[in-house]
Amino acid sequence: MVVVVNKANVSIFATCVVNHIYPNVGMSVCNVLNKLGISTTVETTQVCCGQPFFNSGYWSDARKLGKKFLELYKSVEDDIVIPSGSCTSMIRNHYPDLFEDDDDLLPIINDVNSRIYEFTEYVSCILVNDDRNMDVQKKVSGHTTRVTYHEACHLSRELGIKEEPRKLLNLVDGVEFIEMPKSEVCCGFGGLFSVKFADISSAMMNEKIDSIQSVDCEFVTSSDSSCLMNIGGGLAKNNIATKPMHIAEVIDKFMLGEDAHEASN
Amino acid sequence: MKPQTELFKQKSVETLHDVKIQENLSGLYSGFHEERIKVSSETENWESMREKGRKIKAHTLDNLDKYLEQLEKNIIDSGGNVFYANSASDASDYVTNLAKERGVKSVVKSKSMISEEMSLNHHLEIQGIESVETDLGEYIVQLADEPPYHIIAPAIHKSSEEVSKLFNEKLGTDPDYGIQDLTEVARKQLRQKFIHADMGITGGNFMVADTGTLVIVTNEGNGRMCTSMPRIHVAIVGMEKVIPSVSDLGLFLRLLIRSATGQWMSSYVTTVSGPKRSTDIDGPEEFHLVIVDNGRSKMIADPKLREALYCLRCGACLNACPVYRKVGGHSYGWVYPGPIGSIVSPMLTGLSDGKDLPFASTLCGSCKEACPVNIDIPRMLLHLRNQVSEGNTSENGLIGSRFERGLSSIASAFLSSPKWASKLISVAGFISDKLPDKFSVFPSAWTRTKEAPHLPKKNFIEMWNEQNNANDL
Repeated sequence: MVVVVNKANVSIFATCVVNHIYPNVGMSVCNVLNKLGISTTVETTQVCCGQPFFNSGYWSDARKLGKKFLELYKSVEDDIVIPSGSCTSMIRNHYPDLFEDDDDLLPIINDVNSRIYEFTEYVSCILVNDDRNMDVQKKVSGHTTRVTYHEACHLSRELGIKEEPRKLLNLVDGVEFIEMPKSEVCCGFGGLFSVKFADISSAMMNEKIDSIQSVDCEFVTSSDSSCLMNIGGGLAKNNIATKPMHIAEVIDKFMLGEDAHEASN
Repeated sequence: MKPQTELFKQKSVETLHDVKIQENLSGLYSGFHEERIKVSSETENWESMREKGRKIKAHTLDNLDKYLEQLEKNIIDSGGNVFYANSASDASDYVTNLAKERGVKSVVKSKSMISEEMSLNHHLEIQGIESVETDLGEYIVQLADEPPYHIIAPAIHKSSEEVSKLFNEKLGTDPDYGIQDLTEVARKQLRQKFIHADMGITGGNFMVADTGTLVIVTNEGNGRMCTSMPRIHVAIVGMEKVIPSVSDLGLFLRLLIRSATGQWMSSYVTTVSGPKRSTDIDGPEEFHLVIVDNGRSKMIADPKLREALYCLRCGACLNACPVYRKVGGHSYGWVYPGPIGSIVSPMLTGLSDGKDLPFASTLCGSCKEACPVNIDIPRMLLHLRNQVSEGNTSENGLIGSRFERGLSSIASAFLSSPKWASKLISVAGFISDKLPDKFSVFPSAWTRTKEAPHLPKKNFIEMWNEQNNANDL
């Protein structure tokens, strides 16, 4: 996808998991974009995109939520940034299926999709397309933090975003990015799957935890808070010191200096 | 094979607790899966080959009548016989009747998944006809009286120690035999079977319409023995296995073999065009091709699910699947396990019994990524989930639980309001730890192995509003 980033402002679609469980991830998304000179707005009436219902087969329920999403965002002219590969893919890849018989909504879906970006996809494009990043001050620190990366399934295989998050992590001065083995293997979450097939899900999660432990990092990061909720829950239950941290938080915390933040304000 | 798709949950949990099987399954990733990735990434134009293969498969299914007729004509012209079997039992009847009529006492079989659909060995045994599997893995599972565990590696769940023990029990061999000894034992046993068999039964990886050729891919050469040594050769294939032209064969062989085992080419590719000719030194006197429908027409008729019939049966989606690598083959309860099995089994044996299968996936997409013809397995799983949850098919009605459907309506209504969404999350968080496992729609089963997240005091919207209002001041 060719992205032209020249907007002064973007709208943040936080997703359910970030809005209700990990609000700091949303704040970090805003911070990172602010530090790159982009202001952020938030539609305060935003609701679920419908993905959990779509994935459970309850498509009529998913359609109701999808319609609400489209009604709200059709009039938002800014680019829309989403800190989740999974929710981005729902809108980009699955709305056209969900509404395949709805001739009124299909053009709206196309239009909204022309403005929708997953967070790492968007930030990577800024860093590639825009010289401003060169002025961004990196945090100077003697200490580097070891961070490993879990490749979220929908980001990687539904959106095809594999390299961007790794490039971003490699750009972070205070971070030593360590590739874990089998980073692309599903963590076992799968939404309802983790409840309906809790035993299988746990077995998959345990394998992911083994991978994480093998690289001995302070943080495991990913594009999706739902994966990190699953992985982090397992790490905590097993008293493993590695902590989950969304990639927006990693970049916010380690990459961009306060000076840049102030400068952009 | 009698479907037991309704037992998925129970069998998968049993497999998770089987330490030996877990150990044996753990080799799939570093074995077949990584080998496939390596060889496909070293193949020039792999992605365009996948797309080309996919297009040919789509075109063939769109013109299936034409290609089957062409195939049939060419087989008959070369002296073979063609039988169309509507159902698995029609196919079994044809083969067993033929065997009886021709006085067949013993059969050698090359690996064939469709013969598992038919329970062919069982039907032959009822008639007093010995039927011996000649693929080493199939031979092992036949001795163990089990169905195959994997489409291309039927005994992948057994270690060499377990096979050694099995051979000791069934064949009286030394219980300490290693892999090479065991293979030699099997080879010796099977050699006698090949020599004395009256009928060879094979599957087929491809049927080439424009030449009337059956193509069989093996690594052990057993397929070639089955097609050339006994006096009768019967090949049984699903109707979707036809490809238009011999000029397509090179592409499909590369796609199939590289995806299946990670080999550049298999040890044997056997092509059969009819029975022995008058000038041939050896070969079967009779050749029969049994083309089986057994529910496939119904799949073709469903535009959302027909691409499941593009499947080359390479098994790559099984090796790529993190669920299959944990629950193994038998959990899926019918002939075809793994991601493709979760579509094919409910479609061919009934969605009511197999209703768990489409849900037994995290929709991680590894299957689609691995598929040599780019079959969109996750998308089809979603369609089947929709059929289960909302009963969108006239014949099935509502298959899923009314209770869960009610919950979905309530939850989606809550989530459609920002205010009520927050309340729902709080309540869900509160009760998540309080309910027993049997109410599995609630996330209590979750917290046995994972800490539940702590809910924040303020959600993102509230935090954002606060910060912005503060900035505005």
